[in-house]
Formats: sequence, structure tokens, C-alpha cells
Amino acid sequence: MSRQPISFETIMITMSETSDLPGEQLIERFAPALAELRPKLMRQARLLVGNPSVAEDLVQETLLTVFEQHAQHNGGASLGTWAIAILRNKISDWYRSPERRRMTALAVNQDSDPDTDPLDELFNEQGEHVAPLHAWERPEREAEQHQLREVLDVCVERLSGPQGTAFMMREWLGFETAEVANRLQITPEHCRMLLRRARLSLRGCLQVRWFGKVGA
Amino acid sequence: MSLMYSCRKVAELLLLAQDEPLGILQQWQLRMHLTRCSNCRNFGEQLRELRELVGEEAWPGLDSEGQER
Repeated sequence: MSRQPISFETIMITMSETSDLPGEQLIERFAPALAELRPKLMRQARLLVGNPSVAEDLVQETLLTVFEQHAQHNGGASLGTWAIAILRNKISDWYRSPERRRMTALAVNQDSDPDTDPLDELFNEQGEHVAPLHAWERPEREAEQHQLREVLDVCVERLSGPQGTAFMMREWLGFETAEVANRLQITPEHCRMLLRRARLSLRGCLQVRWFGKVGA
Repeated sequence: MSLMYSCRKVAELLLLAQDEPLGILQQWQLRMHLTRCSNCRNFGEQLRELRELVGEEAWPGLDSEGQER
């Protein structure tokens, strides 16, 4: 992977070379989308990649790929969905790259097993539910789906760094649990602990901030 | 020890099942419990829903309103 930062100019030059459209029209067409997408891609990359400059590089490369291949993109997924899929591939590749292997392990082991078990809040001493659990109803209206997505993002960001990273590698990159542990250079037990806590935390967060409200 | 799992034990297994395959006996005992416990069924459904939400390809609200389709 190139370590050189990719400038906005580089992107624009690449765009003008790969399209029949005049450069000005391309800039007009893509600049607002770029400005809109970049922070969202950055947020996602930072969740998964501890090193900020690596996250930055991956996002820049993603945007460059979007522009290089924009001619092939017509119809199907929206620009944002397409871009996030490209970012996901780039992050997966990065985790599997020799370059990543050479880097020191993330500060994952700092997240040691805390004394409290989040299940204590849900169950009494007999192991029964302290309150009934209700099924979650997915919203049908688009505006509410947006809101739910935002709540989910907030909840994911509230996870501790290692929990968030392990969880997103497992669920968003789609890595097997063993590979998550391997790539983060932690034991499988530690990895399972991180994932378990992340799931419980997210379940609770979504329940309190969304599903518990809309169902009430 | 009772042959029936407690709800807490079931929650533990449902969480684990998201990341590891369960043994045959565990699966069977889990199913026995779930057929008669709606709280635990809902807990399992919530975990599945969480997985679906995070893994979704399309992100509602990722593109600004009116831009693209």
C-alpha cells in the first residue's frame, strides 16, 4: 500500500483522466458527495483500525477507487453504499497484509476482563430474567431506519476500542472468530470475551435508546 | 444439577453461539428451553437482529437526501 497521502488534486486528475466528462463537471458532480462521505468513511475506518494515519490512508484509497471506477458505477447500490463496500474490502485486505503483521499489536490486551458481568443486570440470582424481554420491531419508514442506523453508530462508538474493533471485524468484515483473534494477536478466549461484552453492550444500548422507546 | 438450563445459562449459550458452533447436546438443551421460554427466544432474536443490522450492505442515511437515488 502506498504511504504517500493522496491529495484532492490527485483525485481530480485521476477523475478527469478516466472520464469523458470535462474535469469541471466531474468536480461539480463529485465534490459534494466526497465532502459528505468522507467523515462517515473515516468514522468507520477508525473503529476498525487503531492507527489514525492508516485509517486515513484507507479512506483516501477508497475515495480514489470510487473516482477511478465511477464510470463503471451506474445503478444498483447508492454511491455511499458502494464506497463503504470498497472501504470494507480495503480494511479486510489491510488486516491480512504482511504490512499489518509487521505492525505491533493493537492495544487490545489493555481491555482486561473486568470484574462485573453485564449479564448480572439482566438476571437475578436464580438465573431468571429480571424483566420480560420483548421482540425488536424493525422500523418500516425510511426516516426511522435512518434514525436507527444513527443510534447503532452511536452505540458502536461507545464500545471500548478493543471491543469495537473485534466486534466490527467479526460482524462487518465477516471474519471468523479464530481469524479475529489471530489478526489482533490475542487469545481465542480473550477474543470471545470481547465479542460477548460487545454484543451485550450493543443489545442494551439499542434497547434503551431505540427499541425500548419505539415499542413503548 | 437440573437437566434444564436456566435463562442465564441460555443467554450465555446464545451469545457463544454467535461466535462458536455449539455441541449437539448443548444445541438440543437450548432448543428444549427456547420452545417454552419467550424471553429467551426474544433475546436470541435480538442478537440475530443486531448481527443483521451491523452486517447490512445498504446503509440508510449514508447518502445525503435527494442525492443519487
